[in-house]
Amino acid sequence: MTFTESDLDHIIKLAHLDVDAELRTQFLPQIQSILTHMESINQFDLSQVAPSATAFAAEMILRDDVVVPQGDLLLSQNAPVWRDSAFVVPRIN
Amino acid sequence: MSAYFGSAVELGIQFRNRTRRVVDVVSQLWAHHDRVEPSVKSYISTLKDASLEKATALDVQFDQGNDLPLLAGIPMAIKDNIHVLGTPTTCASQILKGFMPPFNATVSDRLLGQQAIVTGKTNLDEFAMGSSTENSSFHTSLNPWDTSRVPGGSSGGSAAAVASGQVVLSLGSDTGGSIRQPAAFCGVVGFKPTYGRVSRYGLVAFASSLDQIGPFTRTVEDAALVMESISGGDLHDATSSFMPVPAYYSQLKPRISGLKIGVPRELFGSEIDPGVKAKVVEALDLLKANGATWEEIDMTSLKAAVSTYYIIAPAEASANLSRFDGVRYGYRDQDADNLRDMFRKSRGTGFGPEVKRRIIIGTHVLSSGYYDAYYTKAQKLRSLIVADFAAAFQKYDVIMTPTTPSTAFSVSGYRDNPLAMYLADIATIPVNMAGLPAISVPCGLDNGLPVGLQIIGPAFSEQLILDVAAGYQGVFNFPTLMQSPMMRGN
Repeated sequence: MTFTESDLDHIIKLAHLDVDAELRTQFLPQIQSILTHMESINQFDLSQVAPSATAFAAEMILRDDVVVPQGDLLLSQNAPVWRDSAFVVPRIN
Repeated sequence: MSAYFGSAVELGIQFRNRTRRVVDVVSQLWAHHDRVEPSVKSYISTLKDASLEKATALDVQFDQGNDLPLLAGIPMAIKDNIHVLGTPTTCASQILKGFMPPFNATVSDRLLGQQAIVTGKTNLDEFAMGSSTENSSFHTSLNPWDTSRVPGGSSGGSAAAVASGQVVLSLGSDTGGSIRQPAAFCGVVGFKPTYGRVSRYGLVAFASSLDQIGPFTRTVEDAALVMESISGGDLHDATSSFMPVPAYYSQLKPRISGLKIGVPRELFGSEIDPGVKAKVVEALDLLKANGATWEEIDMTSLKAAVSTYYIIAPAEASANLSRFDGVRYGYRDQDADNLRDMFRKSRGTGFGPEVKRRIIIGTHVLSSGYYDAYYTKAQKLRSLIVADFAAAFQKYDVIMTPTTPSTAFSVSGYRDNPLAMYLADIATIPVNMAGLPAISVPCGLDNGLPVGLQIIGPAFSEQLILDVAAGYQGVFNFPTLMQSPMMRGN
């Protein structure tokens, strides 16, 4: 499969990234060669194989549904902008 | 008195019989740090004052004859993608600039509970994406055996800190070989546990179905000791296993005789440098001379393990790293005039090139029209890899391979060819895809650089792997034979 410049633009937009022109020029052939290499998976007959999200199915352990003290989550300390117990962000538009 | 370059187990004995004082050992290690760290650059941040304070307090307890845990007073470093309360977690990324974790990782809690002394946070490739630490946004760590070469990655700082004699042991994380590859490059022991054996709580996620935390040590006994301390279920990590944790250290029994070893041809062909292959054959023959048998086997799915990994890991990474958006923590671009612009500019400035490359690949393979062609197929191949290992373990006790196809490569050796660097993970990646435990132990030098032997076992066979590694250590005394020049005073 070919990975074109417009594919790159589309993915950069989807991923909320900013990639400068120099890096775009580097990325395009690099990602193309990586994706070409990935096509080695097509040498295997996978028609009868089930996909695995993890290596082995382990029993999922869940905590009791009770409130536990969280301690200081350092929200205000780590927030880029914090006001009136809330994260402040620019307007949507 | 020179710095202490022995094992944690021996050091613990000396603390107990008071032939060494904790504060002396920690002070000497900091003096050694001052000499070698400018050449190695293994740390991102250090905790010198806190470590000396804790050492002094522990000496009081040892003097009083208190019964302290086996890791009490042992200096150790932690990879900077694992939270330690009161210390920044950077993941070697500008996007986490200034971030203070609000809790300890479970492994940090457990080791601090054992009274180990944390000396600092070690360097890594940004968000653990890389094989050299060259993707760190702070600096590149260097190999203590040859400072023109990389220490490996992504946990290169943790490996270099142990190999340069700055700490007795350290923690890393392993998603595709990030403990075993730097351990091999730096001539130390590196252990990647079974997926779920060690809690991932407080490890900043890269690829959640593959990540595991494990130790770097100088001896197999120390690896067993750390594994015994950090393993076990954790209600904060739903994927952690509550299977009982064996007493890996106290039950350690060196084992070689009667051992059946399989060596996959797919990881033992022309892709392996002749010098590396020769050392691994020497190791296999040494095991054979001591009662083991080995033969080459076919595991055809391993041919596609790297491709499978570089679909699944970036896919998971692209989802995990979506949380870094400049809203709740980390770097934010302050000039954006709307929310979307803020996401884009913050992530554009905060992430380095390799992280961006993997987010792009991951987003692409998950996007409409490509999901089935890449991601679903990769998940099917994971099933084949798991099945291939299961079949091999029907016949063989353990699988052995070179840990890496080459010894440590030169700084900038792969700068313009990320695919070539990805392919260098050929021997370590299959283990993560199958969720298995594996250890890398030093097995000799090729042109003066360490070579690693990888020992892989079935899921939750940590004790077996440690026993076999201890058996090998018994006949090839690498802790004595393979001290880096920085520990020999050169």
